[in-house]
Order: sequence, then structure tokens, then C-alpha cells
Amino acid sequence: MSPVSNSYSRNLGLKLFLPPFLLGFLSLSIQVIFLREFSAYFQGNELTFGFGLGSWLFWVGIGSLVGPRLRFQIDRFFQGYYLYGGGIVGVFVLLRFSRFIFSLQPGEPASLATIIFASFIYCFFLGFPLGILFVWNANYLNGQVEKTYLREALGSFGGGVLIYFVILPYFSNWQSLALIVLLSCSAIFIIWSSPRKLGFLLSLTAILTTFWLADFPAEKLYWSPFTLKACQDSLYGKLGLIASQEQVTLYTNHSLYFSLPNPEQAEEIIHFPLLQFPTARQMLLIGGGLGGTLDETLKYPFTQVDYVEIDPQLIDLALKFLPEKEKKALHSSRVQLIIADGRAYLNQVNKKYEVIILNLPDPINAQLNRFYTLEFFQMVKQKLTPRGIFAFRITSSENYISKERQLLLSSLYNTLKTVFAWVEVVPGETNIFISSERKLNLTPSFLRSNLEKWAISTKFLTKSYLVSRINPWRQQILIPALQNPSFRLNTDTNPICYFFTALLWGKQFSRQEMTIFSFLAQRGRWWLLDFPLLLLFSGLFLALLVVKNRIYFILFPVICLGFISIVTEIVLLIAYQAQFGSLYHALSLLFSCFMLGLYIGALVSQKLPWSPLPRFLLLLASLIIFLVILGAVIRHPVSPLIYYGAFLLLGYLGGDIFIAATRLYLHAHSHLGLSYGLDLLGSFVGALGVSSLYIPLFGLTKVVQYLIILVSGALLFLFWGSRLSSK
Amino acid sequence: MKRREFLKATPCLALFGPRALPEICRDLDALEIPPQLSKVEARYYQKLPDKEIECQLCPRQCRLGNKERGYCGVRENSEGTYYTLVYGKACSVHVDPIEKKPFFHFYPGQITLSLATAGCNVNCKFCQNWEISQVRPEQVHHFDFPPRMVVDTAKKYDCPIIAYTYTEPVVFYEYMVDTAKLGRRAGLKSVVVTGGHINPEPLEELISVVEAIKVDLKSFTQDFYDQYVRGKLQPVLEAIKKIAASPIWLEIVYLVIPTLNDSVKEIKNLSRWIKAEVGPDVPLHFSRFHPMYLLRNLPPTPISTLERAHQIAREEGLNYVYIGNVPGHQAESTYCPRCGTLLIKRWGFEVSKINLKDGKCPQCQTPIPGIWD
Repeated sequence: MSPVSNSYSRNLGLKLFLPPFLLGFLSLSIQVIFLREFSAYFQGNELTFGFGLGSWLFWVGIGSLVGPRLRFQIDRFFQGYYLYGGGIVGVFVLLRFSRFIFSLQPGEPASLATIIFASFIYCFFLGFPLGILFVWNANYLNGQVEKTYLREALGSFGGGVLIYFVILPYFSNWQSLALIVLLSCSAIFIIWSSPRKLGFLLSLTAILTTFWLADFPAEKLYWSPFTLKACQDSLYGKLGLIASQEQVTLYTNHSLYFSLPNPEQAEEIIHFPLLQFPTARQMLLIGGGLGGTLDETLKYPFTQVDYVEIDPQLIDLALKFLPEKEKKALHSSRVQLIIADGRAYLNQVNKKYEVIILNLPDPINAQLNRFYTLEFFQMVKQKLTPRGIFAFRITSSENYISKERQLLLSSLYNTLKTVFAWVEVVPGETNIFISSERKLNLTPSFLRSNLEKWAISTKFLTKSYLVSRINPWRQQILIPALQNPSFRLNTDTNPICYFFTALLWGKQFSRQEMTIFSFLAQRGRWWLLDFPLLLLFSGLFLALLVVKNRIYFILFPVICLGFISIVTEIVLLIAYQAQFGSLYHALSLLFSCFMLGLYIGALVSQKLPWSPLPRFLLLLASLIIFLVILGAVIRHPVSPLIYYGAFLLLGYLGGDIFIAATRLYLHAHSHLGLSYGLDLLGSFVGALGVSSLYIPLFGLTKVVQYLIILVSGALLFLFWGSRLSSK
Repeated sequence: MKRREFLKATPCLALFGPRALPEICRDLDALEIPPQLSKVEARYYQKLPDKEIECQLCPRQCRLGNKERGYCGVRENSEGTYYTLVYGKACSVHVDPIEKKPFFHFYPGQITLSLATAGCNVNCKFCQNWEISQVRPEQVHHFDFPPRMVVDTAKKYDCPIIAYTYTEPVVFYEYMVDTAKLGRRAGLKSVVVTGGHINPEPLEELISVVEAIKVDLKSFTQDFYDQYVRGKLQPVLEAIKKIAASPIWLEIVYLVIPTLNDSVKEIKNLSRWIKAEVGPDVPLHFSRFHPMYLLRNLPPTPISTLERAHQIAREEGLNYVYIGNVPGHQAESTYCPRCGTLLIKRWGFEVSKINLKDGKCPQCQTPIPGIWD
């Protein structure tokens, strides 16, 4: 072969390889950036995340179902990448200014209806074109859905690795988006032979440059009329610092983290526990050390503080803008700053503390909830000296404890009571939970005498403040609420508290919005798990008897697969973060493992001899075995490698099953986007309901058990269906 | 112990400690029983054809068909008769110092039996008690606490004042008025903590049965009322003028929310209006905003903003201007507007010193307006 023809064939290979690869690359990168932005501007909890991800998957799925109806044309296909790249910039601008569209104040939580509406609108523009592009890619590869899927999976793997390791650690969300789009469209430029391609590239570059430069001004506009001093997208969220006269306020993901000066909050969380142990020498402070708390701690003459903070960029920001007093406290020889995840640190440290204070936000999501579980409290107890004190605070209500709040508070109280012999709670707008193995004394006279004895000067915690704060009237309203006999324990595998905070969050909006959610929550296992499954299996049984064309039976396991993989991923992620701490760093690797597995699975499936049905059945059986093992793994401490392996294996099974199913289906039909679309629609259902409802209500183990039943049903259905067909 | 008895015992428990606690815990289930709503005919409404009614209690003037409820969610039209559903159905009862309401010129240092039912006729995005104000009565634990029991409880535990507070007392108007009348006969005072969203006629009756009203003036612009309160400013101003012209005591609270209602212009206009329409002696409290409810991510009000507002109001000629929610601030205390003598020293809700002689400044004999003994 001549050098010329060699070069030609290389170019042709690239030409065929790049578009689907770039589709996966764009898809995963933009999805990650969208979810980061969406959860920041819509006050992320599991519901926000679920709706964001769910809407995305829904529209990509719909796009791939609609795709075959649109006429494929090569020029339009390449233009599609440019138009998509330019268009999504507008969506991200709209997302940033959502608060103006929905008449919200900076940081004001949006209602559930607003979140659903916004996620559906934004994801339509982001996801729908991706679904169409998938089908066009399959057309571009002469109908080879498998190859499209394979290359798309590889692109997703590449995108995941690149953005997590190279782009997101160094660039803001908007900058990352601009880079990703420019990179992808430059690659398209190489393979697209059209006289207009330079014009497209230049126009897109101009748009992306403006977008890049507008990042900080747009963020400033979001915060107006407040003065935004600094804003950064760290690996852990969006950090913002605003200044209004002498007041400096720091936000993480647009939620107020702390405000300075605000001595009341700092004094309360430090002095209530430390006055129980004023001679404490070793204290651990998990989070929230910059809102004046370190300064308050240093008022105790013997106390050395280990202050654990997860985000180094938060510390950098604080050092730039906070008052000298705070910086001085941070640099004190009695303070040791440890950059780590609080739970991971506590797990590995070989040190005993006399006081441990958890100063983190309420358990509003699975990530934060792992600091309020039985297992975490047990870990805290192990690291405390026998007379040690553990404290944290939770937002509450001074004048009335609603049923939803009672569910949350009683769960926390009773989970603590399971671990510690003594638990005291300070009533008020925030409840401070103080626990120990020894008797605690929370009377105003005791606290006051200790303040005087140790000559601790406080602005707020004075005699009358203590009398008013530890008000017997409010204590006696709170205590029966806490002792709710029908409490639910909050554990790593049954993380109920973030569901309770979601209920409380939803209660703030319309009287009707959360009704369906509360209604569902009040139903038992029968209505939420057994009944839908029974209904599904009855429907399938009926289908076996009625439906003539058996080829449609293949599609059911495909929908199941989309559902099962997303649910299993969520189960794995929650179990992983409960065991090993923060997910943010590991997420990239875990997702990349999944994508790599998907790629390998699809590749193997493609290369193996063509006998899809038995292979398909075998794969479903393997998935059952995988889930059985998973059910055991999540309940026991194992090496993190097991989780990476599980993601790889899950990806492998997913890829292999998808290709086998697609082959079976395409053998009879030529709908290029159907299997892909159904896979994603199954994922949509899983993403929406499972993390926000099923996992907190029934726990990880129960969810896995029901997944096993579902796959077994799919297997039996397919097996029976194939036997009927062959007859 | 029946639910009614249990709930009857709750106030006693709060005052006398945890001895009865295990008993109460056993009765927790009682809270789970959906409580009965009241069906007492409402006042201030007009019957219309086709079983419709028009509520005339507050400026919303809800016009309702059969089985419909007013904006407040606690008053219902049933077959052309309008009923209050929360008569005697308190959901929050506490003993608070009068300074917590806040009243600074009305029996300083006294304690109040404070109560509320569910419901409100506005939707403030910064409501402290949203879990009871923004819900329907069926959605809260409430208990039978009829007027007679309120008065007996207040007397039994030496609370000389009954305060109708936490939510918007206007929505439980009938319950409040009847309790206040009974209380007066028993020698108890009644104070109302309201947003002032009430029509003149019912306000007139209210004025005749209570001793003091504190109005939360949320802002001095209609725009703010539209966006953050969902109510009207003008009726509130009218209500303030009416109360000021009556013999009962009036205080005004202005919650200063950073960037939303804290401009120099707005504070100046507010102060001028108060001086001109209400008089320079009405106490005006500038309270510090704490992040709450739907505005929980706004920063707290900088102290300097409150001090600036305080200074503006004083410069505009108001004599009694306070800074609230900043314990230890010197503007929590009362000073003689003429000679500057410290008259009442406060720290948070605590009164540590009262330096008044027959309601006058002991130094310069200037009469200090208020109800002191």
C-alpha cells in the first residue's frame, strides 16, 4: 500500500471514529458541568440532583427516539456540533440568571415546581440534541449502533478523565465548558470538509471567548445588589464571598456557610459543649472553623484544636478576605489545620479527643447525612476519651415543632441515644445536640459559673441569654417531640434523615407541591415496592400471552437495564461515600471505571460470535450474581478497590447487555435510536425516584434485593418469551 | 390521661419542670390524632347570593363560594355561613418576656402568656414561624385551649399579660377578642403582635378590648410588600394611624433586611411619616434580620446598617428609637430624650434596671410615654 493510501485510510479511520467519540466526550462533560451548576443555583439536595439528572436522561432518550424521523445529511450533521456548542452557552447563561427569571433573591431556594420546570426546560436544550446526534452518528456509521455506542462510551470515559483530572481542578464551570466545546469543535473542524467550516469555528470561538470573560461579571450580577468580592468553583462546589459594610459572608453552592461578625452562632456551638469540659486539651472541629469558632475555642487556655476542612480553596479565600482576627486564630500555634474529609480523617486518626464538634450544615443530602448516622456516631465515640463530649447543631424552630421537624430531630436524637449514654439538646431556632458517656449539666447556673470560673468573655452567652436560651417551657415542648417512640434510626445503609430534611424543605413552598411526595412517603413497602413490581410482572405475563411480535420482549430488559444500572450506581456511590468519605475526588475515577467497563463490555460483545439470545440470558444471570454479591459488600467494610471493580464490572455488564439486546432487536427492526432511548428512559425513572425516595425510605440493602427480583423477572420473562417464540 | 388533659397539662409542665414528663411521653401518640377544627361563626363578613360570602376582616376582602376558604386558610364558607376553624385551637403556647414581642414601653420586665393558632393573611418570605403561619390548621398539632382556659392558665402562672403573637392574630380574630374580653374581666391585659393587615371596623373593636398593639411594618414601599409580603402597605399605615389615635399603646417594629428595605431614603421617609402621622413618641424598633425561611441565605443585617437607621430616625425627630436582636447594644435601652439619662437598662430580653419615677425621668422630670405600672 502506498504512503498516500495509508494516510487516506488513517484519516478515514479518524473521520469515522471522532464524531461518536466526541459525542460521548461532550455528553459526559456537559452533564457533569450542568449538574454542578444546577445544584449550585437550585440549592442542591437529592431531589434537585435527581430532577437534574432525570431530566437530562429523559431528553437524551426522547432525542434518540425522535432522531430517526429527521433526515440525515452529512453537512447538517457536522454543523450540529457547532450549533449545539454555541447554543448551550445560552442555556448556561439562562441557568445563571434563573433567579431573575423566577423572581428569587440570591440564594433563595426555588420551589419544587420551579426546579422541575427549570430542569425540564434546560435539559431539553442540552439533552435533546445529544439524542438526535446519537442517531445521526449511527447513520454516519451506516447504521452501526454498536460501534456508535462503543465509541460514545470511550468518549465518555475520555471526557470523564479529562474534566475531573485536568479541567475542573483548574478552571471554573463556565471556563471548563468553553474549553470542552472548543476542543470538540476544533476536532470536528479537522474532519469536516466544508468551505463554511472556518466561519463556524471563528463564530463559535468568539462566543466562547465572550462566555469565558463574562464568568465573573455574570456571577456579580447574580449577587446584585450585594457586592461579590470573589467567586471560585472549587472541586467541592461554588464558593462565593460577599461583603456588605463590616459584614463578610461566605457561601458554598449559594448556601450561607458563615457570616462574620456573627458572634452568636460561633459562641453557641463552641461554648455549650466546651463549658461541659473547660479543661479539654484535645479538641477536633469538623468544618466551620472560620466563622469565629476558632477564636471562641482559643478562649479556653488548655485547648489544642485539630480543625478539619475539606476544601483548601475555602481556606485560601478566607485568608484573602476575612478579618485579621480570624486569620490570627487560624495561624495560632494551638490550631492545626487538616485538609481532609472529616469522616475519612476520623476513620484513620489514631488519637483520642476530649471534645469533638461537628460544625457542618444540616443533613440535606446523602453527602452531609453521613456525618449524622449511627456508624459515624459510633466512630466518634471510639475516638473520644471516656469523659469526652460530642456536639453538633441542627436548624430548628423556637415556637413550634412540626411533624416533619419532629421526624428529623427524633431520628437524630434517638440515633445519638443508641450510641451515647447521655444526650442533651439546647432548644431554640437551632438545636444544639450534646452527647457524652457521662452526665451532662445544661442548667444556666452551671454554664454561667463555668464561664465565670474560666474568665471566658462572651458577647452573647450571658446570664440572661442562657436563661432565655435554655427556656424550660421550650425544653418541655422539644423533649417529648425528640422522644417520639416511632423514630427511625439514621444509618449509612438507611439514610433516612436526608429524606426528612427534603420533606421539610418541600414544606416551605406550596401547600400542594409536596403532597404527592408526603403521600408516597407514608405508604409502606407494599405500595411503593411490592405493588409496582407485582403490577409490572402481571403486565409482562399478559404481554407474553397477547403480544404477537416477540422481538419487542427484548426491549423490556433494555429499559430494566437503564434503570438497574443507574440505581446500582447510586447505591454504590452512597455506600462508597459512607465508608471512605467525600465522593468528589473519587467520583471521576468511579465514573471512568464504569465507562471503561462499558467500553470493554461493548467491545467484547461485538467481537464475540453472533449468538445473542443465550448470551443475553447468561449476562442477565451474571447481573443477578453481581447484585447478590453487591448486597453483601455494602454492609461490610471492604477495600475501596472493590468499589472501583464493581463500577468496572457494572459498566462491562451494561455495555455487553446493551449490544446483545441491540443486535437482537435490530435483527428484526431498524430503529437506530430506540434501544438507546429506552435505556436512558429507564435511567430517568431510576434517577428520579431512587435517591430521593427509595434509598432513604427502605435502605440500600432492600433496594438491592428488589433489583435482584426485577432482574430475575426480566430473565424469566425473556427466557419464557424466547421459548414461546421458538414454539 | 386523655389528649385534652394532656394538652391542658402542657403549660403547667413547662413551668414546673420534667416531673410529669414520662406521662407526657406516653401520650405522645395523642398528638398524632387529627384534631377537630372549630366551627364558630366568624364576624365581619357579608352574606351574598348563591351561598357566597365576602370576608371583611382584612383588606384582602376574600369573596368565597360554598366550601371555600379565605386566603388565610383558617376561615371557611359553609353553606353561606362563614366560620372560623381555629377558635380555641392554639398550636403554640409559651411564656415569654414582654420584651420579646417586643414592647419596651408597656409593663417592662413582665411575662406574657403568648399564644397562636395556625394561619396568616400574608406570606412573608422571611417568616420566623412559617411552620405554623403558612399552613392550614389541619397540618399542625393544635389543642383545645378555649378563652376561659387561656385566662385561667395565665392567672394560675402569674402572667399578667396575654399576648396574641407568633402568627397573624387577625386571622383568629374572634378567639382573640373573646379571650381579651374575658381576660380584662379577670384583670389581665392583652397585647397583639400584628402585621396590621386589618380593616378599620374590626380594628376598632379590637382596640376596645386590648391594651397594646405592636405593628410589624415590613417596609415603607408597596414594591416590597408585593414581592416579599404579598400584601398592601396602605392599609397597614392606616391601621397604625388609627391605633395611634386611640387610647391604647402602640409600638412599631421595622425588620431591616439588607439591601431589600434598608436604604437611607426609605428609612428617612418612614421616620418622617411616623413623626408626622403618628407622633414622635411612638417607640420604633429597628430589628436585625437573621437568615430565615426563604431568605435564609441572605446575610444578617450589618450592625452598622441598624445604627445608621437609628441615627436617621433620631435625626428626623423620633424620641424612642431602638435596635433589636443585637443583645448588649446600647440602643436596646431607653434614654430620656431631653437629658439623655438612662431610664431602662436592657440586655436582650432582660430588664436589669428601671429608673423611672411616676413615669417620668428622675433627672429632668420629662414624662416618658408608656404604660409603666
